[in-house]
Amino acid sequence: MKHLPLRLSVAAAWLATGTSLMAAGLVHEPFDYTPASPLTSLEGGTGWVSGWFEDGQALPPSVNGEGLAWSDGLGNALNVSGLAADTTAGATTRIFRTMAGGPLNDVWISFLWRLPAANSLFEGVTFYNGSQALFAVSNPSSATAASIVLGNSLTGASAGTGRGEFGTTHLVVLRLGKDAGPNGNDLLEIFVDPFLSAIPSVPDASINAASFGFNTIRVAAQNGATFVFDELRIGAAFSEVTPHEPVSGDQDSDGDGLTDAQEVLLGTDPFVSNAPLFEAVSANPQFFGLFASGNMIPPGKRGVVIPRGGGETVTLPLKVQQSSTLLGWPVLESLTRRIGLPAGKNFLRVTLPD
Amino acid sequence: MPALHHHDLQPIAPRPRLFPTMKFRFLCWLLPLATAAADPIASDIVVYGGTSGGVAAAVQAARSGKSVVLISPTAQLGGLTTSGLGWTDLGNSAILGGISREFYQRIYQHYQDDAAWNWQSRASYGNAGQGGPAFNAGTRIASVFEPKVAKAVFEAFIAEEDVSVITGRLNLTNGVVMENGKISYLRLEDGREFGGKMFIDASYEGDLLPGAQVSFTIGREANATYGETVNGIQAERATKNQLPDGIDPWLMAGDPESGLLPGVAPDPGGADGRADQRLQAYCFRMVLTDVEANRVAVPQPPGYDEADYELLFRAIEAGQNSGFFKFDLMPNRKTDSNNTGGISTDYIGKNYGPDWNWATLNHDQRLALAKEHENWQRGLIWTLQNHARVPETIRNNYAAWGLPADEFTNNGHWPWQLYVREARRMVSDYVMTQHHCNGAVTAPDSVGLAAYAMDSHHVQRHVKNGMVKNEGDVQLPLSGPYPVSYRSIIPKRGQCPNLLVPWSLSASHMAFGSIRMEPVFMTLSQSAALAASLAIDENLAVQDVSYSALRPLLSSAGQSLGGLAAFLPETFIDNSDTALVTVTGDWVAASATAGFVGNDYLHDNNTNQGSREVFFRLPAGTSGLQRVFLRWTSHPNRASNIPVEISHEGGLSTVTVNQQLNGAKWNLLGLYTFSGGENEGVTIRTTGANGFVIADAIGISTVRDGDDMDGDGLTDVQELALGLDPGVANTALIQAVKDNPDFFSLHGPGEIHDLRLTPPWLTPERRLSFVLEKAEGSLWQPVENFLLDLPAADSRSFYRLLLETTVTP
Repeated sequence: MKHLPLRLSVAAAWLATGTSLMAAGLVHEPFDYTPASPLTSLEGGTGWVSGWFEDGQALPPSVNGEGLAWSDGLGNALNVSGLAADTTAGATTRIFRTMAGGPLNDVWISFLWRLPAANSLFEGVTFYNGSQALFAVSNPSSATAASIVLGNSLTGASAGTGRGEFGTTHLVVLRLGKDAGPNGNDLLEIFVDPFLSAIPSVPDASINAASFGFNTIRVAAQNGATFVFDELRIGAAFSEVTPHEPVSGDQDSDGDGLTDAQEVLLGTDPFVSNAPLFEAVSANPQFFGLFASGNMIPPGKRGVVIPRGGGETVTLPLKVQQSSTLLGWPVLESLTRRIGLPAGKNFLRVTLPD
Repeated sequence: MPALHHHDLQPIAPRPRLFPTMKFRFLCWLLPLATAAADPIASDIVVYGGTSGGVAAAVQAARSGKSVVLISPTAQLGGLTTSGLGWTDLGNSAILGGISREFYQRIYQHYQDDAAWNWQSRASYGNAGQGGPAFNAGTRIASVFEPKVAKAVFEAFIAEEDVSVITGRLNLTNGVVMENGKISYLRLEDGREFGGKMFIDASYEGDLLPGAQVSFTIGREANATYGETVNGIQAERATKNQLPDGIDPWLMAGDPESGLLPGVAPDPGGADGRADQRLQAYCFRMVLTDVEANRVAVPQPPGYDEADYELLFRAIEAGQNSGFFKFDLMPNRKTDSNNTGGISTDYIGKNYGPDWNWATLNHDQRLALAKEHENWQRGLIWTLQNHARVPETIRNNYAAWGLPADEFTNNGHWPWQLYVREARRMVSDYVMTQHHCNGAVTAPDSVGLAAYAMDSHHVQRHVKNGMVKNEGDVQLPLSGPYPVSYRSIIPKRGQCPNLLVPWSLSASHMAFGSIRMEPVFMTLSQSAALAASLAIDENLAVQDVSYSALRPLLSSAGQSLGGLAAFLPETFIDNSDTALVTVTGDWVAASATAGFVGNDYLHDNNTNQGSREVFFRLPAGTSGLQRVFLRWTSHPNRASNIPVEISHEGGLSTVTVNQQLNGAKWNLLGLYTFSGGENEGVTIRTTGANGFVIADAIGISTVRDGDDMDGDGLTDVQELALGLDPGVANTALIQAVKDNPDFFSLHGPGEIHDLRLTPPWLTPERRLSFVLEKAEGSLWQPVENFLLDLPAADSRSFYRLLLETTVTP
């Protein structure tokens, strides 16, 4: 059962706190239709050329009685609405829909996915450019494993994510990068159940091909097996396909010194301590081209570093000394200069040439 | 007490601001140039050799912003690629990157135009290339093409980059002029001189090597030299392109008193596997056509003597009735006609003699010998088409072919460039060998990939069992593309520091037989130009160029370098190495499952497990941080729980391996630090093993400071310090740390506003002057000039300027 009031309250909270709303995505299908209706010709959602259509060789999926819902491990709940698509039927089900503005490239795609039981049938979504199948997210048809598999329809290759459980709703997120793969190929990465607090960076699997630009999606299930599919979103940014009300990430669940939200950003597990790694990073900032505040003079250089403090300027003191014996160095003259720090600069570093 | 930094001031002599240190150094540096550069035309990079590689190197040099001159001893550019080799010896299109990829893609693009198909239709051509499609729509690469099309592409490259091309022949006697141990300039036969900071030898002969005093070799090494198995004399293995049995070797058949046929030796000159200095045969890659409107008949060449074809006649009589040359079809009904068969276009044994070889000849002698090759091949065609001793069926089979009227129009429609398959080969600190070709060891500093089979053409003809036989042909497939080392295209450390050699590189005869393909030549030459550019920018000898600095440049230029394979073993210890391998218990030598290195592997017969083990001791002197690999052959009957112990400086580490999987490849056990102790190495144990245990080989490669095995931006050493796996990319984590330094109470360079103080100096008016400067890009611009009047002082006064590190913001 979806929680429509929550969605309304989320929107209200954004407005109330001044938090900017997620930008609208390119495509959205919440399956906000009448339960048990065949999907054929239904035209809801945004970003579509027209309604769902059949190829005349299979049954259409229908509208499920309930929508799917999903939250990440930190409690961020994906915004959902409407119901869902259900492929259950007495024979193979298949339905297509074409997006506006295709073929789409450099986009994020997300959808909710649930398989109720083990089987070795194809259930999944396939993306097309016209009549050419490009890539698919599916259950493996050669095994009863629950694994979510990313298939390359152009080459026949596939990449298993090692993720997926029967009876569990998963959030599947795809990132399509134009020319971002090997040899200038398009790169498609899949993230299963990512934390929503930050853009995921370590995919569960990826594939590449000369062109993955797509304009049509197909939802299908072999022999009418059950596959529930919901909340298809396509957008230019991760945030566009994962709208949610952020929960606080200030806690440090594993006690390793970084908050859960910070760990999501880093791609580490917020529930498994990475203290040795974080300590090593702090001790070796030069590995990353970073600096500790007390160690900003490069090796072999001489100079001073003055932190910004509270103002827009810092004071640079200079002294000229004179000696005739080299034993004592009385000050001949003291000079000070107020140095303005440009925006974003927090330190003044003054060095002497080699 | 605040810490202080200071500049000491000179007490007496003022230091004129007009002559800062940098400028003074610059003037000093210019001085020797000013005296030596009076005559030679100076460029940053001088490329010698108008070959395909020479063009690639010159174009890349220009793209790198360097002044470059391409000196070609031939009027036509492109070498074999524009001289008939249009049936590309590619091996694997994945090796193509950078300029070589651009070249083949431009060829592809050319043939997308219907107007390019003037002697046949696109559809009638089909799409067969060598080992793959002729026109690959996915990669948009064409691997077949006509010579004139290749020539146009190269000329476009040259024009687009405005490369200065000089046609001229190197003075082979004293044309490489050295100063202070490096090449100062090249002198041509006509006296013109070309100076440069870096030189690239892109000639097929390696003509700069002798004058540059760089080590090189000619001929075939013995197998023992590099532990190879197919190098040296190869009489028994020479079964391909072999003459039929029964060919009498005597001038008068059956009469030893008449002497041997010309070009036939009484024996192969030594046992198989022994070294010699003979060269594999050359030929022209003939371009023929059967399009009548574009066909020029091949007349009997001047000086034709049917006695020169006696071996041909006898081969036909002995049963060879085809395969006198290939008809690999390029577009527009033109062929790339290469050698094939026992007697064919290869002019076997004609490119060397008792005291000379192709490389030692001067330019005119080479032209004369190339003309001999041409006339012999023209005579071969004429004979096959016309001679009465050639059966009519064969004559008819060859009758339709002639030379294309629209190719090589200034050379009698005959290719310009003789196929000089091999001449000099540099001997550097790193030698590519058969082990690189078969994947047993991997160069860690890839400047390009090679992928063609090990391919040596015949070297000589000799009498064997009373019959004439060819000797030297070896054709061995590879397991896949493999990297070519940067160190194999530069001279030994201590030798010429400003020369790169992308063709006559440091490789054994057999490895050279695989590397010596035109696409690889282009790739290595482009990499050579990038390395030369880097060496110039950093004022380094080529031997001091850091590979970790070079690799990003190569990648940015699109070069295909290979991935993790670049960090596979540099050396290995095979189970057959009795000096380093200790076998405990009974092990069985076997070779039933492919993928092993050496001649065999050992297995424990799946019995008496626990008592059997094999210890691979590291070679003497192996110390420091090393990658350790294990190799086996996999099979379902292997054990999946084999304990492998690594004895290293820090003690003993155990890794469990599953030999049911990942056979026939090097599997990384880990990175370990070794002290060089005698007991350090790898032990394959059998305790508790649940199947057969295999002991084939271990491999090692040194972890260098700049190595980044997983390519994630952190070196392997840094990843170990962080507790990360150097073999698994942590790109996202690394970027996230850089983006969020505040998580670790760190700061990014973008937070720092940089100023600097110049050293103070005294003006002639006895005023103290210094400048506060700010960084603007890579330059420093004045913020404030300080000028202080100094009080009267003793004759000895010192001044210094202080910066206090503890200050109030």
